[in-house]
Amino acid sequence: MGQQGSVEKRHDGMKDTTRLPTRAELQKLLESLLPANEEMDEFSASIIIERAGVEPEVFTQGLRSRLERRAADVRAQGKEVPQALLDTLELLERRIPDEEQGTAEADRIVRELLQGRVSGAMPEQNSSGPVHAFRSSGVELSEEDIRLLEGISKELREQAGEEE
Amino acid sequence: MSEPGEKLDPAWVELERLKIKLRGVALRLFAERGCFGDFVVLPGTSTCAADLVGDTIGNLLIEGYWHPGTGGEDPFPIAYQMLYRDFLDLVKSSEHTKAVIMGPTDAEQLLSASHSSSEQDRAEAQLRLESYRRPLANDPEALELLELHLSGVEKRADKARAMKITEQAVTNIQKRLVYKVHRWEQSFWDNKAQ
Repeated sequence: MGQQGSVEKRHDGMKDTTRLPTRAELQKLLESLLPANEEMDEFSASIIIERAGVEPEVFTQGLRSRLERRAADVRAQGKEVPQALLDTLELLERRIPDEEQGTAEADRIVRELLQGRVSGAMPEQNSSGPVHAFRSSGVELSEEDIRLLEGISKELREQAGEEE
Repeated sequence: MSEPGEKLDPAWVELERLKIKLRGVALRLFAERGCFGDFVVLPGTSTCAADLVGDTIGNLLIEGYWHPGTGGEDPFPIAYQMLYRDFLDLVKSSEHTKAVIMGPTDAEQLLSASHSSSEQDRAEAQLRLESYRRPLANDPEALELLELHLSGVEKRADKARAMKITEQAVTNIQKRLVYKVHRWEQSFWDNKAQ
């Protein structure tokens, strides 16, 4: 039976057996829907970041350390550190106090080791990632979407089980 | 990171916005070279995606292109140019050339060059569209946009014209579609974790 036949079945009240997209197809479609790098927006970047599955706090701590080293390099060359860099470091210091920086990093490593995963090693295999990346995105799923997603999710589970 | 009701510092908001966009770009560029995640070093170099973002922001600040919170121009266009230039330098470095890994994009390009034809592409697009009809059954706008996308309509203005809606409306529908596809893809991992 062709694709059209499968679609018509749905209107007859029978179970729709149209093939669902595979994970590889979903990944390919998602990549094609996201903008080109030079046109990146916050929403799309948030999707990419969530798929990578790393906590934003860890990244920000790393950024602070990196900028501190840059400031030290400038000083070592006998030059004055630009005010923009000093202001940005002060901004980061206000948000991430020193005492928290070390313990948060240690806590994270221990937590991830206990969970049996190494940060960044196989990020796509982490489950849902930091959902707060979407809190300001303005995109919300309706109850109907959630119900549909749950149904599709169940089928995908069965489909994934068959593929393995 | 901010408390409820706390007034957002414009400098922090600017820094966060730039950081998120650069991080998205860097993650994607590294992933194309087989390096997934913020802290996975590109083979033959000592640089990961997080380093590239940190260095780009550092260069912007040191070279006077940007001062967060002072009301200047959007720093992303120049930041992207700097980041991409540095990434290309990394890839071209002799050490990396010796240890080059063929990324998924390269492999896909080779495959598509050797196997694709427009007729085959159209048939595959139709099959792909059918597989999305049920998941998007309650969102006809997203399905219509997807149909245009899969049939090769790329520009937002062309999609808006075809759908007889504004470009902003196309953007909103596309975001919704991206979010749904992302959630479905994530559900594979959620299911495996159960």
